Amino acid sequence: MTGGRHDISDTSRDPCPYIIVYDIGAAFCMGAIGGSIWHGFKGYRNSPRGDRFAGTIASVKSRAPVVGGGFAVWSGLFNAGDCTLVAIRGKEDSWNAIMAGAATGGILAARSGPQAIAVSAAFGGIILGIMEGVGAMLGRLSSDSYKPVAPVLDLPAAPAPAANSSAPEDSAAAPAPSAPPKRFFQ
Amino acid sequence: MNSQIRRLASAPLLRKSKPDSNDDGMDLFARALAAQKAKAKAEASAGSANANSNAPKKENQSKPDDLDLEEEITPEEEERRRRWKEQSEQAERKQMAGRGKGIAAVAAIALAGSYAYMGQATNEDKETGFSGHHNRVRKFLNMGAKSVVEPPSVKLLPDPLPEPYQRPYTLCLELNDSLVHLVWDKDFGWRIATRPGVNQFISYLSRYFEIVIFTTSQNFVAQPVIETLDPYHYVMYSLYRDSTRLMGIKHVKDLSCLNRDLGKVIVVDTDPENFQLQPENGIELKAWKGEEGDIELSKLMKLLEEMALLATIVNLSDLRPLLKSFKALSDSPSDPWSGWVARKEQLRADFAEGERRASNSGTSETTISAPAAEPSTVASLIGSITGALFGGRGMTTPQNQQPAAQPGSNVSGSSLKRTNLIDLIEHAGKEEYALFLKEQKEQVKQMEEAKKKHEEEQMAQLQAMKDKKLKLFDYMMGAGNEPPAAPAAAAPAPQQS
Repeated sequence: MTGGRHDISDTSRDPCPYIIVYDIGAAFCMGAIGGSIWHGFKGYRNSPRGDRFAGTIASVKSRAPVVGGGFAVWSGLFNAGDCTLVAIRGKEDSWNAIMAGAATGGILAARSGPQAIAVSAAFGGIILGIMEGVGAMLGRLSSDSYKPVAPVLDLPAAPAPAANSSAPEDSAAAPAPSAPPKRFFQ
Repeated sequence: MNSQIRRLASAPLLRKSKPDSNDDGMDLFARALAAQKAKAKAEASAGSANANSNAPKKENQSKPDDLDLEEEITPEEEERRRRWKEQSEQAERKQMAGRGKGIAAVAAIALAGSYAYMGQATNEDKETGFSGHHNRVRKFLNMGAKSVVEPPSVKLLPDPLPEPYQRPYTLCLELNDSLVHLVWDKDFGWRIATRPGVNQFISYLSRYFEIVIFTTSQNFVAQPVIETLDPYHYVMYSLYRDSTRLMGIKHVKDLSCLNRDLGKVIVVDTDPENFQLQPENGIELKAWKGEEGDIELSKLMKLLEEMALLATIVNLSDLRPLLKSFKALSDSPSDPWSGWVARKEQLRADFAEGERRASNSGTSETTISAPAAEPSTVASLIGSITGALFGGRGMTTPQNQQPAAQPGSNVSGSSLKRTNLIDLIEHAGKEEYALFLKEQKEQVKQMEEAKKKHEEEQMAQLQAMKDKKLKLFDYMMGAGNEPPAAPAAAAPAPQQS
């Protein structure tokens, strides 16, 4: 059974309901690893000299899963919001991600009153906007390597037409196309 | 004292104030001090009252509600607490305001800086003054907005190849749901199903058309699919979503940017909105969602083959009227084959009519006045070609073999039976396809060898680059892009530098 996405455009991500679970796990791993480094460092710095290793381990044990959990919650809410918006709007563009980021920020600040919700939602939306923008930029910059390139032909008289632009990644200098059958084209 | 503090630390926080007051537990500590003082006072007075009381004071057995909270708050204490709370709230508000001001300042500087940058005088536009600057800013922003929407250039494809290699017509194919179908499931992840007949479709039609895969998929998704689908590069070029034009939410294929003569381009897609800018060039194909027994591709292949043969024999410079004529006759927009069959019948009848007229009016006539109310270019062309080209010569098929003309009889059209052009192209198509099937094994072998050779060349190139020992900086300066230098040219260079 295919997932819920209407226009399957990105085969590097699982389709919609499954991506929520997948990304929660991925975000937890990211947060746990990053939190281990951060809190390991902090635990090392903040423990007495004879006890540094134990301090590091204790700090990591108690705080890194919390950081991972925070990342996981953020990612779960964001993906749930994103999938919901895709299903509601029926289109797939960057606005879904931005609005889902704002919703996530807002939900996570829901206990602190309307002003905090507004500020947090704005920050979430801005962060997602920046991420989507950077992604789009990278996509446009990398599209140069997919440009169509004319095949290099071995013509006896004229010099071979130069293959344009940067070194093509693959499939560019394909074997020269065969001449069409002459039978009916005279 | 220590034991009391430890007891405090383990006691539940009994907060009488608001939850977000930030007094760092001073309230509780102050209360505990006051409670202790009161207790000491009470004990002193009680101790003096009953000096030989035999209730030992067991400190570690007292319960948390030894903290008598309500009775011990004196007015000065109250005042002090209120002032402390006010001060801390004020300090916090000032801190937040300071942070907000800092962010606002940074944002203002960033906006001002980008405004100044965007409005810089360029080589083309040196207007001074604020309005000039502002116009340049607006132009900059417009260019940015347009670059998202428009195709990256007006020449998406390289120029057509020189004559023997360039096919007369161009065919743009969509990938998703036309040639392949992407499927996801929990156990295997993403998989690609290829439509029945797709390999024949691409390899056979590459004899008549320059095949371009113009898809609305992203480039990083579609490129591996095309590599797997077409390992021998029958597909000349591939264009992806970044080459389409964004209109609303639809990614529209703008054929005017293709750098090809629009009269010779056909685009095939499952969604007619994807070629809404040039609907006369498009053929709609039924979408395929992976079901078995799909024959659309083989029908389309036959259609395109016969159309290409017809157009080439008649030397049609513009395919669009032909497309329009048979699309108008289809049962439904996604069933072009029915329309083509109907159109062929019409053309067959027109040709026979033209033939009849040619033979009736004798062979000296080289042109035929087209029958009245002839809607299509093709039929009138057939009519005129009948007289001009085929007058006196019969195109015969094995079924219609005619005995050699009698000596002395005029080689006039009336004695030889000319084959209908439509029969001709159908027969030619069948022959060509049979030949293709026979040659296919040979061709596959040749393609495999060519591919292997190509891979070896690439490995040799990689090895040469490794030997040159380029570092990252050299790549950034564009070192890897030159064609391999001829040895004679390379030799003097190191000596000069």
